Amino acid sequence: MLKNETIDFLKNVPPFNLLPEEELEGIVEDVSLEYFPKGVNILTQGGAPSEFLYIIKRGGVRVYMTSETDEEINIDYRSEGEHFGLLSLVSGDLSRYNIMAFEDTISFLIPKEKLLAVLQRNQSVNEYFLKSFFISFIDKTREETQRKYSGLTGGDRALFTTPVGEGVRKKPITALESLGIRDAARRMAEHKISSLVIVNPTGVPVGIVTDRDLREKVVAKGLDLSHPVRMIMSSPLIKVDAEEYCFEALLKMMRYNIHHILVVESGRFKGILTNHDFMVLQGSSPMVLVKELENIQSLEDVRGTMPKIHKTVSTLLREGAKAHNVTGIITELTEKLLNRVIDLAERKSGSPPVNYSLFLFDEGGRRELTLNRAIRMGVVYEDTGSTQLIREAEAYFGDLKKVIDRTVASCGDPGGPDCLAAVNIMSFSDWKGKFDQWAATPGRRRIEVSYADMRPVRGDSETVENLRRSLLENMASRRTMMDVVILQTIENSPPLGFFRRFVVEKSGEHRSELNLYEKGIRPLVDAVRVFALQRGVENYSTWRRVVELKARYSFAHTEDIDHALEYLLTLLIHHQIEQIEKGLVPDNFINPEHLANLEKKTLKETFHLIATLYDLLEKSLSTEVVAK
Amino acid sequence: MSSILTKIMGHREKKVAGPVARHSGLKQRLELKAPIEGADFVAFDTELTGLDFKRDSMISIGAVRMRGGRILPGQTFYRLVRPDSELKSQGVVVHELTHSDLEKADPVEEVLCDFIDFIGDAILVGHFVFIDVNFVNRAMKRIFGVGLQSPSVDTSALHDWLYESDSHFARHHQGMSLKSDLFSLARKYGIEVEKAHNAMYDAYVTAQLFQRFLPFLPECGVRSLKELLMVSKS
Repeated sequence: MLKNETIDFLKNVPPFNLLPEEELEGIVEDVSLEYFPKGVNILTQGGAPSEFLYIIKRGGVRVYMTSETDEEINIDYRSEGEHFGLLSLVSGDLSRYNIMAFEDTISFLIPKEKLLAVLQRNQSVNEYFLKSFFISFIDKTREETQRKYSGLTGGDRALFTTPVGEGVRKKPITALESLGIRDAARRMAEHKISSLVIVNPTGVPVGIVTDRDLREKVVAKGLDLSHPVRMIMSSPLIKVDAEEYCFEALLKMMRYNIHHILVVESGRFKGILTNHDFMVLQGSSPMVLVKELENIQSLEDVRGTMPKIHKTVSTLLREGAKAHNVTGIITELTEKLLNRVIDLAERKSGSPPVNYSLFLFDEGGRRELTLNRAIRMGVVYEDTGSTQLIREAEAYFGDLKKVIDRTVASCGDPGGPDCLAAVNIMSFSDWKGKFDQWAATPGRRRIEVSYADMRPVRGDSETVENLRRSLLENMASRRTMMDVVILQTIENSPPLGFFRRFVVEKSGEHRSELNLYEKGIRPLVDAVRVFALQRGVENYSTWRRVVELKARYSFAHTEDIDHALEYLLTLLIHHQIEQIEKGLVPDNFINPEHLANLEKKTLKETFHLIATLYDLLEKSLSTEVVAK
Repeated sequence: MSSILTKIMGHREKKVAGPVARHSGLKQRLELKAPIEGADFVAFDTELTGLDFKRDSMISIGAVRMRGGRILPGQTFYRLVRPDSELKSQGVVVHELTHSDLEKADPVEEVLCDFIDFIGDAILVGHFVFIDVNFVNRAMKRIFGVGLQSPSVDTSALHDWLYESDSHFARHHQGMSLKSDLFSLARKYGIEVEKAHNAMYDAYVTAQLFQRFLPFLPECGVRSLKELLMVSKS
């Protein structure tokens, strides 16, 4: 009867799923079901406290505050299976927020006394309610996901949990920049160290000298040993803060292809971390793979490295790497591979007819690549007056594109993504012209906002950076252009149906599956990008953008965004690894029905957050546009 | 044999007397000036062998309690009634109840007595409620000599009234249903119908329909039970 149906409903709703059947039966005796038409205020900020815990059966509510200036501040959206009214029910004084039905909503009501009695008897449920809702959930789900996919029980997570400062073992050996090369080498030999930090007279590190410098710059070139070390030291120094995790240091070492990294603590030199230290910490290091990638001798061998990249990623996940660490590694490895592939292509078909820079944009630009090989890149080549050269260049890049498609981008899979589309191969002036036109006549053409993530990976990086800067400046300074960007972004916003059920594919190969990237990650990333562009935040990666938005602009929701993105990407990469292990081609499609309840709920939670962000986006449009 | 009879009779005697006696004094107790919000309602439905209340009879009663606009899914009533007239064959198909189901059911006087006990002082709610009320009323008069005293709200009449009074309700739902049967209304106003033609579920659908209407009544000046009964008369 209705009673059983109610019990069945509660059984699937955390934390009531933790309760024994008898408790549920007891609750249901006094449960009631109420209907709130869209737009009705259920609880009012400052008004009477809630006498019930409301659990949404259908529909959804908006939780918001009204500021002293009568501004409405969105706090949250809650939908099916979620609850509201708890805070004031427990405190008993007044309602903290306004709760409004944003669609027709049917809710179960558990009377206060009943709930409090249940909480008293059931510690687990009590704890659940006590914890901060969103965050505890994400963490729990992440742990569960991890357990589910990798069978992980304990394991060594040193790389991700050890701050760099702890990894530094020895007191650093330094030398003054005026010290002679011979003396510096002697000091290194004495202390059996492979690097020496060079400091200025006030003790501030200014450079580093390593074994490699001695070999390449001194011995190989026959340099006079009495010269000061200043002449052969590498600078500027690549530094990492002692508080950062070892993983960050490793990532930087991979990025700059260095084997030693300087650790600073509150601006002062603390020590050196070497690749060797990572081997000790980890047993193996992704640096080994980097070396391997750089030593590939033929395009045919590229394919063989893919499984190794997958294995590295899989290992990282098992060790508890956070998603942004993993995407960072994937991006670094992909870049290394990409560069090597181009080296090999050049070796085969000669150097390019014009100088050019290669850049990644979108996922790759943001250092957020996953394993689906959706790598988007572009070429900016040197301006030339010669049509002959232009023709040669076009042919050259056409061939290059084929090579990349066959190797890095899709490993030769038919129908793989177009990683280097023809429209993304242009001369500097053409690029500049394209960007300037967007600024001059906004709204006429679609603005490819993801160019805002363009990041140089080969060739002269300044060219690409200049282009990007002009684009960013135009967007930040021209209201109308920004409005177009916002409107375009909103068009891609998740449909309201997300509150009720996941919007899955209606037909085709991925029927009833959810495109996690397009429907979840992209809207989130796009929203953050706009918030960053509006404020002139220039960072590439979404995480860095979020950090900066929080630090410099006290932007709300940053913690939630961080968690949501972390969750979505973790889910996606786990899914891809699982596909790879089954011998399938990794993609972005997950079947929401295969997710555990908690995962589903967290997924919905993240979609709410996205909806909140899009609300904010819409509000940031200038009034002229809104009027239209 | 006499002991069994005494047991049954005694049992019945006790059950019949209390609730029905109490029920007969209902009209004096009712506070019709009380606000709708917080008042007790019982949404109910009966299954019948046919619509002719002289020839046909009830085969089940389903009901669910409401407090104001809140449905209490833990407080329901559903009983089969042992028929005293022959079952019509087509009726059996609709109700998905077989002869043997019904032969095992309780006699009508027992079910009615328990039903009266269940509804207490609540206002009844039904869709085309006069039909159900007629059947219950007739059986009660015949068995207990007391008719059904509870006032009742007809959700189909209330729907018509909302339609005519140009309420916000119509705008909220982007128009109203022109059909007036329970399931057309349920479909139009977003009520899930899981199991049709079972008195319990039909009562539940009726309760939800009533629940959909209630929030739109105050703005039309309907706030007390008296006003509600006035606009929802069959």
